[in-house]
Amino acid sequence: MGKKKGTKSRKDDADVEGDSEFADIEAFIAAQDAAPGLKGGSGKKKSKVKSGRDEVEDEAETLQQKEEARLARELEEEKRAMARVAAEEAESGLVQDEGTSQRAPRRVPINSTAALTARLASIRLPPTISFIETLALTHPTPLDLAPEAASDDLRRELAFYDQALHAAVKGLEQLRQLGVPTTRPVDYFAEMVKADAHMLKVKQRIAEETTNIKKSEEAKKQREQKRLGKKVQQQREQEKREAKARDVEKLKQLKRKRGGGVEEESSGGGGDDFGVTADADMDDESGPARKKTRGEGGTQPPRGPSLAHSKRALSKHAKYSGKTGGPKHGSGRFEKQKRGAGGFGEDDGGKNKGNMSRGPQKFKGKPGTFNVRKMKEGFDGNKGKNRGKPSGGSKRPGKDARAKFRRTPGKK
Amino acid sequence: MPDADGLPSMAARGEKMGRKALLLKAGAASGSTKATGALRERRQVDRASGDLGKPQNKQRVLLLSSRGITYRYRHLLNDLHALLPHSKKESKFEQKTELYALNEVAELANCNNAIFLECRRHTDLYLWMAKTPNGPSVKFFVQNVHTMDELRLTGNCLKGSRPIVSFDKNFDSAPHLSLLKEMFTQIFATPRTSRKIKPFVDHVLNFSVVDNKIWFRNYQVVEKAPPIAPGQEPISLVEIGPRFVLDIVRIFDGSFCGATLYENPTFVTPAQVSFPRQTPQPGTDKVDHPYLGATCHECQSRSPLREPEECGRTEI
Repeated sequence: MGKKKGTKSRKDDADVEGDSEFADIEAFIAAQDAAPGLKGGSGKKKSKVKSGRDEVEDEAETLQQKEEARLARELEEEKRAMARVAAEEAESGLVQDEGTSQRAPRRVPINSTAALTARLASIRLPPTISFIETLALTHPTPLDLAPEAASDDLRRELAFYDQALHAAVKGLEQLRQLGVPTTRPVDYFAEMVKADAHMLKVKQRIAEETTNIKKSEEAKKQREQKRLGKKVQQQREQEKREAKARDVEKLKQLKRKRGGGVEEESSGGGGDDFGVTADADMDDESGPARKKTRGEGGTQPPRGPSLAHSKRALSKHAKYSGKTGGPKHGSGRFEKQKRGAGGFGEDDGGKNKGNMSRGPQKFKGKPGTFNVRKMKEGFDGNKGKNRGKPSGGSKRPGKDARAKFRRTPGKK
Repeated sequence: MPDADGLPSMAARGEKMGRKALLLKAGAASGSTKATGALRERRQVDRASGDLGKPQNKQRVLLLSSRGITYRYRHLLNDLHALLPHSKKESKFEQKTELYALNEVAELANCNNAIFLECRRHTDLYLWMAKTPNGPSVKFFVQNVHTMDELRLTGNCLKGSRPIVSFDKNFDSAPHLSLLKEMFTQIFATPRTSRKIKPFVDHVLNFSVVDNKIWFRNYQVVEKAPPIAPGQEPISLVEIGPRFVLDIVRIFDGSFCGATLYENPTFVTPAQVSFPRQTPQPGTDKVDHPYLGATCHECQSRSPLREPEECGRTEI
């Protein structure tokens, strides 16, 4: 028989078993081996058949090989069966529950392009149909929006708007060429898709929105202005305070210099009128004008003894005489001389008989009987005209008297 | 004596021939499309072959909703009815499983299209679009619904005016989208033969594909005043509404039944979103609810009308 012994390959196995006597038997047994559940029996049979010819080792080897072969065949068959099942499922469209079937593989979603195309061909409108029948247009370029852009409202809506606008322009153009009217005339009244009441609500809402926007803008502006205004106001107040402080300082300086400044004779000192003017300026309580001159620093503080020309000036002086703390103004020899001996109208030695002749009157009455009217009239009972009043010049009538002769009433 | 068409002449029969009959006869004999009388012209147009022998678009759409529809989706249905002058609104459809009965309703109403709004769980809206009785049908999941009642949508148009329908080029990129484009054209574009149409064209319906979903918009065409700056279009658009987003679920071969032609791989049912699927407990072999579809009498196919996650515990 010329058999080789100890061969391992499957092919040789076949040769070994290819004996004409045993070929069909072996084949039958092999088939039996392939069917599951008959492992034990067939093995035994095999061994029985072989024991006559093969050695024990060969027997074992061939058994192993047969096992492998059988397993391989089983696996293949199973795969084929599964594929068949899957195909069937795909065809029928039945879905297997994924959670349960560990045996079935994951299903591929259906997309039978051939069937889709065939169906499209079956329902499609005839190609000769004109545009007027459907008014359908396709945009020349695809809308390339990334899936993330779908959530970006503005971009997405703009893209839709562009597509629709293009189609509208093109469509209307074609319709115009065909002679179909597209614009609704102003006097064509017909039912609209949205009722008039609804459109009124829409209009009101739009109006509301615009007014709200305006209001909020106004409010914002006001707030800004207020903030700014407050700042400006604060600045101004601060400036005022500073200016006031400066003024007070200057005043103090002036007083100090004036009071102890007999030694400090400078250009503006002596018996000049400048001194007087300066004093007059200083004593004048009118606000900004005074401040300005002071601020400018034009006038020098007066130096030297003051020479008050008018009684008025003197009297005004007198107010400050106590406050500044310096020597009483008008208390010097000169001033006294100028003033005169005292009393009204008395001669002061022939020097100043004009305005200055009337010095301060002496009250000669009893204490407690002082009367202002009497003061004006004269304590000595002199009922002269205009006592206590500066003389000279024509007397100007009072306001009421003047008013009678006024041509234009209320003229200032 | 028989005349041209083989019948005994009417004169011979002694009948008086009115103008109408004469014209008809003359028309039939000559077969000319250029009509002299107004009557003949009208007759020509009414024929299926249409004016000048060209094909016509004759469509009627059945508008329906299921029971359990909420106010928002009811308004959407009314808006669609207002926008489609060739549509017919019917009463609510009671059935949940045997939707192929809608084909019969459509036939009774003389419609060759149907739009069915199916509301599930009182929150989710599915829109079915079908070419009854044999044609394909689509099931969409509707999101982001804004009806015409919203005050932000300020446009307005004539009720019954024909719209310009604008499609994105993306509709030509895939076979299932091409099929959808054709269906949209036939359902949303108003045919010339509809009885309720008005003469002017003043609004645009816009379909775009973004993020594998179909976005619907409706704009009013506003013509600008004459002094137009160069480079600017002579018209501007104002949105009328409604607006919604359609997510394809499945495309079926039949009308509310049939084999699945296309299935959206990225679609996630709202039930799955709210109740994520859990793997079965180890050691158990618990079988979740087996998928069941209704058998259509006509095509005898087990149609997957509902997604597996929708039946069973999550269903009301």
